[in-house]
Amino acid sequence: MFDNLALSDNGFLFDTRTGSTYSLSSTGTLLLRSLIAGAAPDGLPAVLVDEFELDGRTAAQDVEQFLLRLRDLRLVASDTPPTEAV
Amino acid sequence: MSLTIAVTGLNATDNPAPGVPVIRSIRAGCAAANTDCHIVGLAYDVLDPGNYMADVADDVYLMPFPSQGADVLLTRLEAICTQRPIDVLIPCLDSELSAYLRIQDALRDLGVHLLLPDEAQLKLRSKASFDVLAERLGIPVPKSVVLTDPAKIDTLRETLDFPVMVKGQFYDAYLAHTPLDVRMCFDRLASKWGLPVIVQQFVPGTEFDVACVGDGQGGVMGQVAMRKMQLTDKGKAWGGVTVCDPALDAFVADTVARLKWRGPCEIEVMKAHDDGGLYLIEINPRFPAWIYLSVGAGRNLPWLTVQLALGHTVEPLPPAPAGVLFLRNSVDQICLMDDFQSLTTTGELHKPARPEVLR
Amino acid sequence: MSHMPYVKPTIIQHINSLANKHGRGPSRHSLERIDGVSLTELLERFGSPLFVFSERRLRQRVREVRRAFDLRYPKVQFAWSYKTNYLDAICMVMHDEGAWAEVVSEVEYELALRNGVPPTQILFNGPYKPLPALKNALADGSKVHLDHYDELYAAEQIARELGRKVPVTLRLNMDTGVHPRWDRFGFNLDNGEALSAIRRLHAGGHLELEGLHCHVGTFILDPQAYGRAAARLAQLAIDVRRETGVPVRTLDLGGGFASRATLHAQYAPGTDSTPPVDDYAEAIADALLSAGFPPDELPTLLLETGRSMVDESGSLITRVVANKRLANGARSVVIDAGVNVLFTSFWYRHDVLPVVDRGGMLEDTVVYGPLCMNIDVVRPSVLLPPLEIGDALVVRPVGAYNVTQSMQFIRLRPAMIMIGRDGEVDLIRRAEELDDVKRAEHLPARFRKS
Ligand SMILES: Cc1ncc(COP(=O)(O)O)c(C=O)c1O
Repeated sequence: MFDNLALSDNGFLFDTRTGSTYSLSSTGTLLLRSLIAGAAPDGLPAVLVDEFELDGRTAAQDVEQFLLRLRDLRLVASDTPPTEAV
Repeated sequence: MSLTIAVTGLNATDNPAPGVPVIRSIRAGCAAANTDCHIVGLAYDVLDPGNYMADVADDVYLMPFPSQGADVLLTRLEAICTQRPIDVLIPCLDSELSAYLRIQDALRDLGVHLLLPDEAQLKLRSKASFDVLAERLGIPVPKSVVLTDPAKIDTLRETLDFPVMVKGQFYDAYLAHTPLDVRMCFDRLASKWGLPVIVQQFVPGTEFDVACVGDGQGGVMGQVAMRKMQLTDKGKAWGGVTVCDPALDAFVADTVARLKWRGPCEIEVMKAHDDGGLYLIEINPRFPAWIYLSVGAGRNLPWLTVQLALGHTVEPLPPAPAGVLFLRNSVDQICLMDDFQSLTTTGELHKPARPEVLR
Repeated sequence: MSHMPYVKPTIIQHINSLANKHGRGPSRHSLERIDGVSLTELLERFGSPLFVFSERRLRQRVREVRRAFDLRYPKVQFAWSYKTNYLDAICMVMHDEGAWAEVVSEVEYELALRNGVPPTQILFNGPYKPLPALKNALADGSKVHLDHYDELYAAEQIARELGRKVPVTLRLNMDTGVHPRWDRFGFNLDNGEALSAIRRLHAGGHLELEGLHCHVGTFILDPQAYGRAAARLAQLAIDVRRETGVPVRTLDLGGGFASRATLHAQYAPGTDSTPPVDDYAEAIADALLSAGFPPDELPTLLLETGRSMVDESGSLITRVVANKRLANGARSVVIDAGVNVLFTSFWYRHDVLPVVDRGGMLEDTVVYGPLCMNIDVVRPSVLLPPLEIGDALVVRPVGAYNVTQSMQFIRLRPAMIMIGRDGEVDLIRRAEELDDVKRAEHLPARFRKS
């Protein structure tokens, strides 16, 4: 479902369907890359926790906000359920 | 010899900055002088078309807007110079000049040469100082009134005859036939460009635009006079022809001499229909966007500027011959997404070395 | 485990390439310390928000301004414009640096007296000086600046009662080419009102014209406006001398020099566009020295510089209380200090920068205060890195007018501290408490619950 998103390692994103371009931070790039690779949204906080010294609650909140942004920008379908912040 | 020359303002839309034509002129100058040159484009926008044009800039760097101040500008240039030392830098936008003036000593220490007017000259050419130009320097300008208070509009008739030109302190001008018109323009201009608003006697006549380079001692090192033939809807030249009028050349030489202008500028002159008198309308403290015409006319002013900035001794060029025509065109160019991405993410774009044959 | 530090996951859309409008400029700034003192520690100790004043910075600036004038004109006296900031600690620094006091009400007059300023070193301005205050000031030899005819009549009456000639200063206004024009204070010079008032004053026989005063306006970016004002005051003084035989002893050019703050309407930052104080000094001194005063009658130059002295010595430290996306997708943060204590937000594009920059992408952000009022905007747009709740920000410069114009609207006023010259930290005003505000109220008995 993300075959329209061309994401490069330096965080430059091109949406082939809309022509819009974006910049992502390194963590944003990591998360979106995981989504593109098929990760479930629920699994994303763990991706952050594995990669950084980060508590689970911050990871969950940051992921939730990031997914909301992706939804606002219509990069993910609006029915993708956001992960529950704990 | 090899030179690295930086030029700002790569916007090349229908209201273009002079950066691209200045670069094209410099490339022509280098080719004629058998000098290797490396051009650094200093752009303000990822989407400036000049960033992507072939044979314009070899490297492009995004710059902080002048509104961020001189310190930020200097830091950026220092960083660029560690990658690629710059020999000469030509600023092409009005809004940059005071920031470049502030940092020119620091730039000189970095080996970057500029050819700029000083702060006092820059102030004198601002529209609000035009009456000073007239009074102190004796340069003929249309009679003008500097308005800071709309209440003064009613007394304009004591000094000026209608119609008048009403001008914002930086940009925009409107023709006004009555004090009521002035009142309307005043509000529009004041809210957009702030105060003061300048009201100038309207001089019916023909406008000439003269690009020139002053040596800072009162001398003109080169000048090209142009009459617009075709205008955009914003009144910018889209086509024009060089003219040669000894009276106009003398007027420009005299103006530059009185101002002791240093560096490039564009002088707008009105030749009155009634008595043929010449009036200074405006001085832009940088090259005009039509400056490539100077190459066509055999008076390559940007290249001249590079040499002067480097401190080379050069002979002044005679005024340009008449009858050289230019017509601007617009072209859709194909750009690489990779180039766009590079500018967006790193603020830099480095073009592959140009093959020898293209030089 | 990555070696990269964690930054917030962020995505920013390129809208007409606006996301890059600042280029790749090194526009990241943060400020962890002021005069070597950690701002994080200050917040922990005194709470947030917190006004921080640097004594070092203040004294440096006062000396810089004074030097600019002393170099160019032989007789200069500064008077601290109380309304700019009347925290006692600030006023005491100013007086310690040799400034007199400039006040515009009986309240401020009282403040100056309490700070130990002798009445003869108080300049009394303002359109309303209640009669008892006017009487005291004239009797005690303060420099009273008459604002209008009714005040002139009142002063004459007081002089009569005192049974002696009383020196006064006339406040004047004129067109100096700046806008807006402050023509509601004093007598107008352009239409001849000033000269008639002087003649009238002289003819009355009870008052003596000691000085002329003109306050051009505030945040005046054109030093030449002062040159023009000084030239005209000087010319008038010379004319008056010729007509009455009495030399005018003081010329007061008021306040109004711009600080290096940036106005919303300005393109370049104030650090670039505000003229150096030397330019103002040059314009004024030139005008006075070339006016043609006999050398032994050179008037004393009085200055009531406020903002330009104190603005940059003050910073406000505040904490982020919320991150929020607006309906249009724009990013905003809410901080714990609002326009009730940051009046200058309406006019200044304040610097807003994090105390600690933990990395991450800069994004255009609206900075809102905590008030439940739509106008509570501290910065409509500023590039900031991702911020967490509790992260500290610095807002500056805030030294001028914010303390005096702050109010306990919705929230109480915060604590204020001064960092001394040796880095010592002193509380100069504790955080306001509800009782401070309510002490002056009286609840009629019938509303009291028994
Ligand atoms: C009479 C007078 N003097 C001095 C000042 C101080 O002005 P500033 O803070 O702009 O220097 C003011 C401010 O409004 C004033 O009204």
